[in-house]
Amino acid sequence: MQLVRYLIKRSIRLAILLVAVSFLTFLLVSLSPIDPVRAYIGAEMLTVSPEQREAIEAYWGLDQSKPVQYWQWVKSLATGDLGTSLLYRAPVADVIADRFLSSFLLMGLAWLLAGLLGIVIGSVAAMRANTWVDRMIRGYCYLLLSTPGFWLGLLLLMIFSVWLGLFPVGLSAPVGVVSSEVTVLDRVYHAILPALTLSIIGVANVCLHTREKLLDILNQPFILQAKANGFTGMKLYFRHGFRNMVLPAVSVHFASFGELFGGAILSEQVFSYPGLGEAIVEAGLNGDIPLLLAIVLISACFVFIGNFLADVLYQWIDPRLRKGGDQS
Amino acid sequence: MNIQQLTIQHQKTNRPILDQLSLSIQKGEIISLVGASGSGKSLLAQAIFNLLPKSLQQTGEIYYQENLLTEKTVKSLRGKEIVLIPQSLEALDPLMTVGKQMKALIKKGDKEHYLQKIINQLGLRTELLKKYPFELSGGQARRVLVAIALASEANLVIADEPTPGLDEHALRDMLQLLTTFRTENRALLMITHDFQAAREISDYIAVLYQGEIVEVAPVTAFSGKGVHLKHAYTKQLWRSLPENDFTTVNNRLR
Amino acid sequence: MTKKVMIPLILLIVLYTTSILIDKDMIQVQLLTKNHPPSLEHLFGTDWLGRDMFLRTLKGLELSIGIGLLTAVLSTMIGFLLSVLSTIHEKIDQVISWLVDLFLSLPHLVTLILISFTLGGGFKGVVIGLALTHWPQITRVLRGELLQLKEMPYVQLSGKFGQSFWWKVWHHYVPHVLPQLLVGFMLIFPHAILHEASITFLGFGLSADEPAIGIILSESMQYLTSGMWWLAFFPGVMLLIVILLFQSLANSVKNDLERDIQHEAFIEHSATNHSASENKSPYS
Repeated sequence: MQLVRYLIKRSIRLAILLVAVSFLTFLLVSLSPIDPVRAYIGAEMLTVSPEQREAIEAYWGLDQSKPVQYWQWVKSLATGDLGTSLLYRAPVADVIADRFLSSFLLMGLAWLLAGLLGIVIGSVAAMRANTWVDRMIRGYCYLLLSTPGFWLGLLLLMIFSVWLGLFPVGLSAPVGVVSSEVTVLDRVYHAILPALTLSIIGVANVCLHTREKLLDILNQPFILQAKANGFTGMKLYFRHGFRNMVLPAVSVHFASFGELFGGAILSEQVFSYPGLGEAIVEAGLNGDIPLLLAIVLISACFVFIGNFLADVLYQWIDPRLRKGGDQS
Repeated sequence: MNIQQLTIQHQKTNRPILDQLSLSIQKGEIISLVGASGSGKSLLAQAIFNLLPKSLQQTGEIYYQENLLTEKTVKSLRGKEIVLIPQSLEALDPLMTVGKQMKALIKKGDKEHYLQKIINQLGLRTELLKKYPFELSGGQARRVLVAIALASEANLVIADEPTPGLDEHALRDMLQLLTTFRTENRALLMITHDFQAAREISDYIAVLYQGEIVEVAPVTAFSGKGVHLKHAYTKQLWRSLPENDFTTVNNRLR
Repeated sequence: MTKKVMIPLILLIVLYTTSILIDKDMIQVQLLTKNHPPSLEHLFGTDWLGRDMFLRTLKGLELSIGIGLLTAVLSTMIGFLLSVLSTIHEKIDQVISWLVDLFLSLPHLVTLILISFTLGGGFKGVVIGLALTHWPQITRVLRGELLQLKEMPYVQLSGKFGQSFWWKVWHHYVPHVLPQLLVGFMLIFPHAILHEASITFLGFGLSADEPAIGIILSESMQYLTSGMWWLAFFPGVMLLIVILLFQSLANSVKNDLERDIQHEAFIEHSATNHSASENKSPYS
């Protein structure tokens, strides 16, 4: 019962959030000086007569007032219609669907890799606190926190694609292959470098949090007791350290979905990887408002889900909170 | 076990907390180290296990069965030959079931069977094994901590304040439980500020005052007006007990 | 001030003054020396128009540092203002807390793209965008601090003496949170620089004729396949160095301030301990 109530509460929060985000986004976009009709027609703008222009505006509903336009947009959103992309001349839903998978693959790979690596090296740093190993790991993390992700991407692109020729320069599918024939393997192959870039940067956050949390745990009385009981090193770590550290660490990692998405935008741009990130940049640069709005909303959901999962981990997996909640 | 001239001091100031402390304990004996709260007596337990915080430094020698304990040898004895019954209830891992933690030091073949035996001995219920530490009462947690030591095969048990927070009834049970170590022919060193409790179960009582052991006396010396006690502080301590003015301890024990 | 604060600070000042001293005319198109790899004459090499990359990079850093300072100041001010407003009334506080959550609910970069899109990019768009996206964290910190301070007896007393709200803000709030403002400002700075470069790299930020690091790196992409690695490598390294310097400066200042606070607490603590230990009895 409690779980149901919790989920309902969360869903209401998401709904309110999405309404607010959609309103703000729409407001911002409609204040923009970019003319959607001009963006749509492009270079042939000069050949369009005022009458034709009006016809287009009427077709898109641009002749109506902004509140009416917002209402229309929200109404069609509710029915699952995200509008038509001006840039790709196709329903936004179709444009996004394929890119969503690509981005999901990229971010998923990067997230897993960063999480695994971060927890491992963060643990090593904490177990060897204040030794040169720890200092090296921390130094590495602080260095990464200051590194522009897209620049790191450029370096990897230069090294692995241009010099070593191990990976393709751009495009998530080989040239000349119809997208339906692209195998999963091809996709993964093209996602490796951008995912690597993302995860190298993402490691720093998880690693530092893991280290801090584990150090905190290592100072707890039950660790001293475990040592007195003869547990040391790896045995101590897996029996008591890891168990107590892993939930908070994974939780923090989930809460970093926002940075992951932002990183993916840059990474996809560097590697010309056709995902949501590349699409939002194209949409923004070319005034493709329906596409832009849709991706903004998706990114909001994405961040929300990350925070939600982080919360769930804390609330429902920790026996203290789970069972404690049942009793009350 | 034999402790000789153990001194614990601050790394920086060299100010000693425990000063040249010597104590020895044999199999089948219970010795209590009694001292005021905050007198640093818990540090003795940590020093025996070589687990003092880095800011403290220990000097002196500790022998276990004639062997000098070094950093290396202590490590191999922890949990096997020497066990600690800790002071803090937070010494139980909050995310591990009680049962699993109780099995920690059982080395014998049939762990479940042995665990069941211990549980019965302690008067705890089997459901308890599936619970997490936060679901235990203070008294249950204390008993679990003792049970872990009981389940081990260690010959030397160090109990660091095993009695605080227990009501009269639970205290009785706990003291009864602690005497099991004597029955099993093991050695128990109880570190406590509860003089009364120490008197009830110990063979010898060592009194700690301002970082030094001022007196080690057999428990029989603590009787009557305390004429067999040597040090002024010990006498003062003995007389300060409320019941000494109007009643004998034997009445309380009945 | 400790050495850990002084060294990065001096390095940053030296770097910034050098970059200001570079005149735009010094960066000339010289087709005779185009596409040169790094050499003693051109430390960072030259680009496809023969421009010296060392000078271009430094000039780009000037812009980055300038924008970073400006937006960090603006963000800190927004954060302070909102947290002060939070203390006026519970309802206002709720609205502001909700605004913080709202701004944190979108990926940073997405918000930046949106704002730049609205303002049509350029210098103005970048500065406003960065200022409007970096205030939530500092607002959270300051809000908690001020809500606590508000309940302090001496602050309450000023209110009873009829001092105006803004008098309280100026005489109680500002001095109290000054350290947090300073640290907050310095922590925002590296983020702002990083995001400026990112958004410019994506094409939403500064226009292509500005000598920004983001522009330089974005241009370099076209020449990577022809092996002109120095076009991307050095500008990025320099940007990284500036951010690292600021990050270490921020951390050192933060540690210094925290140590001061801890030190005070320690003195108080040991003082009370001392008096308590004088009249202790063994079994009291």
